[in-house]
Amino acid sequence: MSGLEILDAGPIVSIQDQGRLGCAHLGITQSGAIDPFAWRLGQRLVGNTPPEAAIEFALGGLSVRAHTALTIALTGISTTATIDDVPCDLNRAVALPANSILKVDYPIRGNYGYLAVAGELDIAHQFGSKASTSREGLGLFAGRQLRAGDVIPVSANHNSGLGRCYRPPHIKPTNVLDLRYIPGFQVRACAEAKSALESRTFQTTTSANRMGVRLEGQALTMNTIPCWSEAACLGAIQVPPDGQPIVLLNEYQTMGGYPKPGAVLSTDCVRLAQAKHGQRLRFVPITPSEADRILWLERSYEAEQRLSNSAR
Amino acid sequence: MEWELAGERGIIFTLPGSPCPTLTKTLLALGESLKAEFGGAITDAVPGYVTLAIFFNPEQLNRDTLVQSALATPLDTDTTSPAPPEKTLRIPIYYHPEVAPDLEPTADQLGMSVASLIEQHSANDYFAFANGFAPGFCYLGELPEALALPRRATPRYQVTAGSLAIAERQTAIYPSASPGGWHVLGRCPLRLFNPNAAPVNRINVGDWIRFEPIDRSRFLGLGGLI
Repeated sequence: MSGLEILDAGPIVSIQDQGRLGCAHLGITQSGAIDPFAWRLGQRLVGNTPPEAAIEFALGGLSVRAHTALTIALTGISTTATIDDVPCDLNRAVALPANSILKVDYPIRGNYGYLAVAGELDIAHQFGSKASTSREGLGLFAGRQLRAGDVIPVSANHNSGLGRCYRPPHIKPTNVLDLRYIPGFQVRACAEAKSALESRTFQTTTSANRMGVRLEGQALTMNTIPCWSEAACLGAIQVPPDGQPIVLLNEYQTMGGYPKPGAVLSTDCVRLAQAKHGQRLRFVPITPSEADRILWLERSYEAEQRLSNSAR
Repeated sequence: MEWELAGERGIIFTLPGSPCPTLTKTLLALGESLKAEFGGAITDAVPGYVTLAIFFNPEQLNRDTLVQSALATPLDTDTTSPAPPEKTLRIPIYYHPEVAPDLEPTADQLGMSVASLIEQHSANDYFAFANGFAPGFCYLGELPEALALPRRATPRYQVTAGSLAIAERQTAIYPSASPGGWHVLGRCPLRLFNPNAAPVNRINVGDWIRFEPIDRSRFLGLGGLI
């Protein structure tokens, strides 16, 4: 057994994977990688089939030392990284020699990055997942944020494809991000709020974490119909009394009493989570059939994603 | 029964009426019926006070099929003769200002003595309506009307794990330290959520609960922390 030692980390670092679907009836939240596309890409790059848990890090760089030789890949963010001070590519399976130090700088684009390791992270599954959820005490070290001195136990796989890489399509930063959402929950009780939601632009704020992103904009009024607490879901748009909407992300509280006009499409939750604070956005309604189609197209796209093998 | 979309993979059903044990039993039965019919295509059934959210895989189950089936399910919504509690879970609580910052202020606000507040809170059987907010947290009701207070104007930044609290017509125990806006009246020494236990949560939807006042030494003996 070898390990990956954390030397330095920002405030949001934990182990994540696909998370825990199907446990909300126990009050256990979905958790899992905020950007599952980036997570799965990293896993494919290092040859982990099925995908294994990875280190997710946000709002800061990451510095780790490999106790023995490992194959790793970095995905999810644009930034600079080095291995023993030699520049290292992102979106590529690279060798991390024994005792070498990987340093990842603060992200230039994106917020949530993933460090994939070829092999298995020796962490027990809880409810089918290795994901950390600190408020539930689930995951490695009872789900707490990882910090300097922690050693992630790894059973490395050395037969992975070094050099496998992916060229992500260039996505121009956008002035106003469209968040496609499925109207639902309390939408019928508040036609005014729905049209206000769709006609205004909002901005992301620094009040953002794995539980959700608070938005700033002209206050919405959702004729406060007293709401009996009910299930929430990933992407649910909560409107608290101050009228500033919160879009729930992976560590959402499974039940809530704030009114909701609907829920953002999962793909656009990722775009939201990866957007810098101050990003302008607007809500665009879609039907559930449109949602199904978008998700199907994305799955097809991901299945056909071409990884190349290059000598560099 | 009404229904609405709950995101790309959820439908939330609402039963008419106010929360009550019979309604909860109806929601639980609906969830079981749909899971029996659609198997693994249904990934979760999450009851709320008057709602049931069904999460499913849209690739395996057509949304309309799910809705039609739910609407066609015969529901026993007879609330005229509520069944008496089959089993009541007794939960020990140490009611004391040293673990409950709101015990005395709440008694003052309600115009009663602390002893009376404790007596009225603990003399009642509570029904577990929903799990949520965090694992181990179960919304219990109904709190007697004489004890009803709105949530605190400013939520507490940190409520200690095990805190028993009230708000409006509900009561609950915070399973772990977290921010909270309810009024803390006591502390429970027992663990409410154990991922390695079966069942995982001490209190589950549909349970009946009675709180048992205990003294300090019993609280500590049961593993309580001050």
